[in-house]
Amino acid sequence: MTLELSTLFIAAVLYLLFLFLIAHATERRWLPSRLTRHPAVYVLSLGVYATTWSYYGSVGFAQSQGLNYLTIYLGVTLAFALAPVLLMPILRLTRTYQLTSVADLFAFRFNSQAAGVLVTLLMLAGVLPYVALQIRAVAESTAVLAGDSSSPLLVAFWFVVLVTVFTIIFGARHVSPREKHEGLVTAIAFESAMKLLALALVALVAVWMAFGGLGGMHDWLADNPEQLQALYQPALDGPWSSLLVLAFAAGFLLPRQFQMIFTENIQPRHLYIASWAFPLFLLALAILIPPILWAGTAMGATTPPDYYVLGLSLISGSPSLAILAYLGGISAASAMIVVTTLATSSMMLNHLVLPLTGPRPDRDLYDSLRWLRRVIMAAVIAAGFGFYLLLEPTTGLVGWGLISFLAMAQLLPGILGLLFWQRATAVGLIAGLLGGTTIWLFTVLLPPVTGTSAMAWLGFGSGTADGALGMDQSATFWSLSVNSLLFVAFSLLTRPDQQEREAAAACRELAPVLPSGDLTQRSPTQFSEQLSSVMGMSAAMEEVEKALRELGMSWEENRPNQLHALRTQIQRNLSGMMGPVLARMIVDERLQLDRESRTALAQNVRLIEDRLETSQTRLRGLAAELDSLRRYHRQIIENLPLGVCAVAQGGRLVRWNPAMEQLTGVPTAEVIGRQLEELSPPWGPLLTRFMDSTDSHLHKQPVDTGPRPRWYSLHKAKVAPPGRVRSGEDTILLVEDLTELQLLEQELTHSARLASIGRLAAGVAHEIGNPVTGISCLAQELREEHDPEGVRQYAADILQQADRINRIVQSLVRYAHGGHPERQGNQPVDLHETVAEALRLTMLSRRARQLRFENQVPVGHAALGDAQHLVQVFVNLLTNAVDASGDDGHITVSSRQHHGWLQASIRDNGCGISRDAMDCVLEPFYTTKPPGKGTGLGLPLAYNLIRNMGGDLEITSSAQGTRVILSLRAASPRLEAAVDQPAATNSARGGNRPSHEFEDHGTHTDR
Amino acid sequence: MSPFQESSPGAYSVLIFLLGIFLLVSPFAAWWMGIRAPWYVPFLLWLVLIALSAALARSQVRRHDA
Repeated sequence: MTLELSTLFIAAVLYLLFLFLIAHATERRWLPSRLTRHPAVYVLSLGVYATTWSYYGSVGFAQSQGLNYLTIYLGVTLAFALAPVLLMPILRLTRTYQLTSVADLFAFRFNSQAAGVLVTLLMLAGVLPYVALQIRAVAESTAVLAGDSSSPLLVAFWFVVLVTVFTIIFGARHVSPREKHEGLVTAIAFESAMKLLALALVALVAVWMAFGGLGGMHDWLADNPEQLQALYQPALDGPWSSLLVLAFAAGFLLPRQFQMIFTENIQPRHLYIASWAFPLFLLALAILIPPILWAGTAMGATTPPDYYVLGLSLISGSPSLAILAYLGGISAASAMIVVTTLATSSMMLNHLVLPLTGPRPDRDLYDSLRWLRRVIMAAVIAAGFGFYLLLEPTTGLVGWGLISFLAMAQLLPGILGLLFWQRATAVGLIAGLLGGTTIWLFTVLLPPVTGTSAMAWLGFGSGTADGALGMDQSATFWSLSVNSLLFVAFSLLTRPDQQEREAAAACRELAPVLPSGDLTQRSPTQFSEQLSSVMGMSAAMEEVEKALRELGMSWEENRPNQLHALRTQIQRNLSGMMGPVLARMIVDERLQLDRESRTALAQNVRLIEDRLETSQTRLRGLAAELDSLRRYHRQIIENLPLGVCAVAQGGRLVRWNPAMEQLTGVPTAEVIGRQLEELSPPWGPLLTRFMDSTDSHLHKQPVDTGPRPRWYSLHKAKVAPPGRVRSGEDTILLVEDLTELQLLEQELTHSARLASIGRLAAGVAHEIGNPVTGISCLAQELREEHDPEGVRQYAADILQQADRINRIVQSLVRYAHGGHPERQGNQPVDLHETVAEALRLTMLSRRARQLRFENQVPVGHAALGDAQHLVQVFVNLLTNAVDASGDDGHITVSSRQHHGWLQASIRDNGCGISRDAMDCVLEPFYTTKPPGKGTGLGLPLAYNLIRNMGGDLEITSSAQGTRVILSLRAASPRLEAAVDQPAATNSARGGNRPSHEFEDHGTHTDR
Repeated sequence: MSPFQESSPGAYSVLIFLLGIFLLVSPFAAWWMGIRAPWYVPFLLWLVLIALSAALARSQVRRHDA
């Protein structure tokens, strides 16, 4: 049976159009993202590894080399088994530094454009025969199915045209690796599924046709033991281990594999899944090969073993199966060509084209890059087609694949050095690559072209095909050995430069490279202006905008650390578009660093901590212990109930703990790196004022942060960076919230005031009782009085008595409500009136009415304070004086003004305070009165209230009595000259807050 | 600060790799090839490696998600 060429052509075109549709539907989001971003799609997309070599050629390979065909899959399995130590570090590097190809990776690590160029050339030389192989497989498979009616060249040509269109449409859509080719990946995944399905169906049908089932196949094997012998013997005799090495390297270094594993990876966790799922996919493919081979052998298929898949489908007589098998081959070939072209074009653009042409500021950067990429893609596929025309048709499918594999394997020493050997240098890499590649070129690539069999060099056949080296060793062994030897030797003989050391450290994640030196640009706008001279203003603006968006910053950003991060991000993004070397050159040249300026350790603290957080799982031993210690100390600061902020030299904030966030309502991310004065009020002005002052402490500062004011105490300390003798470079600010304490004090004040009213209750009753009795008598008289003049007189008397009651009640009410929850600040208070009010209240007490009071405060003396609080202070002090005085008690209140201060003195002639009690009188709840008579709060409250008004309170006492002197700021300096009659005998010393000399006396205290 | 530190995924993956070397590139490999084992034996050995890798990957994915 044969198929019409037109049928095959239409089937192939429809199939490729269907792939277009899948890719387009994915890009347009017609397919749900949970499907297109599923790990299975990623795993299947890695199936691009299985090309026509695997699909068709494995059967022929197994027929001639037995179990050796398995090495191509087992080597990959070994590479993926090492995913955590081999693949994940590469994935981390490619994602972090936006590296799109294996050439980018080497150029980045070795900071060498030459390394990038060399790797690109090697890749190109390796993949072109491989692309040619795919084209040839498509042409030959068409010929197998269509017989002599097909023109292989024409088929190959149209296949190449269609694949080129597909590649250009879906492969050159984005210029940044951040934007993945999701459509293309989904289409490739579908192709992998197609390959597996087609192969499985062919195997199933073949086994059923040839043996009637698996049991029949086992019987046939038992009857033909030479088949098992043919399977195992070549593996014992042949290059089993060297093929494993080749496949190990190819598993992640082939351009198409690198593209799919690393560049198109959406989620790093998918790679963990792929570490077992992809080998499982390969196993599913590989296990189908022996049954197909044996079925073909048993049924005497007339096609070459390389095309048993097609031959068996023809024998089955089912055109559908034949077309399906054919489309499986188309899938394998097209997927390989598309992805290889995509990966190779990226390498060629970054390492061959752009270093020569460079970006042009007068052209749209993105359009230029897209068009360059498209041209390169077309050129790569065209070159593959040209190679197909030159290809030696007698070489089996596997031969060209292995040539390509060995080219990739030349990168194996370099990739191991890149990941695990910090001492490796660019010179070593280039020397090794040149050595290994030379052997590969002359012993593997050229012999097929010149007619010598490459297979001998790969360890098959005689193994002594070429006498150039005079040994019967394989090219794999010698090329890799020479490569490794030169790599190590030249690396040890040369020293890496600074940038190479930094890149090596980044690859090994050892010492994080910290920003050193200040940027000469101070804002993102200046960044875009600088970059515009290289890439044009539009692209520069877009790149800066993109980097800002990725970092969550705004165009107003001006913090040095954030600008450093922005610079790094821009470099990474440019690296994705133009390659790491060119990106570094552009950024180093346009966004320069002043390397002379010193960056304080404190400014990098957060950066260091962030990097330690991400590398925590990699710390071992003492480093891990030290990291635990660091975390413990940091946690102490983070959990401290005090607000902590650290200010580096230059006034930039470097730490802002959670308590500080809570106190201020300002998130840490917003303040780190900012100047103190950039903070919004009230915190910016408050902290800046405190930083600039010489005070180490600021006590109970009222701050308006919301509907109600809050009170904070601030403390300051200088911190020397570790290892420096010179101190005082950085500053730690502590902010303590005293609002609760302040409110408690106010509550206590109010309670004490109410308590004193309670004590005055009897006196109040008496005071009110007298006028009430008077009113009652007057009312009785009024009832009998008929003379209008007399009635008016009685009414006036009644009103007078009522007014007396009213005054008493008003005083009590004012006193009871005197404590405002929020202090409104100091106001001028008439001291004479205040003392008079306090005396009225005090004299409500029965005991007080028996004593003599004198208000000698001059009229016109005014102090700065709170009127109601001052009344309370005087009531407390006068009550104490009353309690301490005997029946002949005489209490005098006087005042004097001196140097802007007003001193009010309350003097009694009571029993005085003992020396022991004097030490405790200002402590809350200390009292010398009998139980139930005093609360022990009067004097401490008076002291606190006076302190809050900015004043002071002093007590002197002797057996003759006690004198309490209140010092308050005078409200009106012009009154300074006022006469201080009663206080004239007191002496006062100079200074802002005068101290006093006291006479004597004694008193009971209710403190 | 426990003196005992759990082995990293990297260490386990190297162990699986070494097991793979033992199964595939060692005198043991020459032995199972030499005795003409049933044709599916290599695939069973392969499946063992895949199963171990899957078990390791599962813990890694959990750790990654955490």
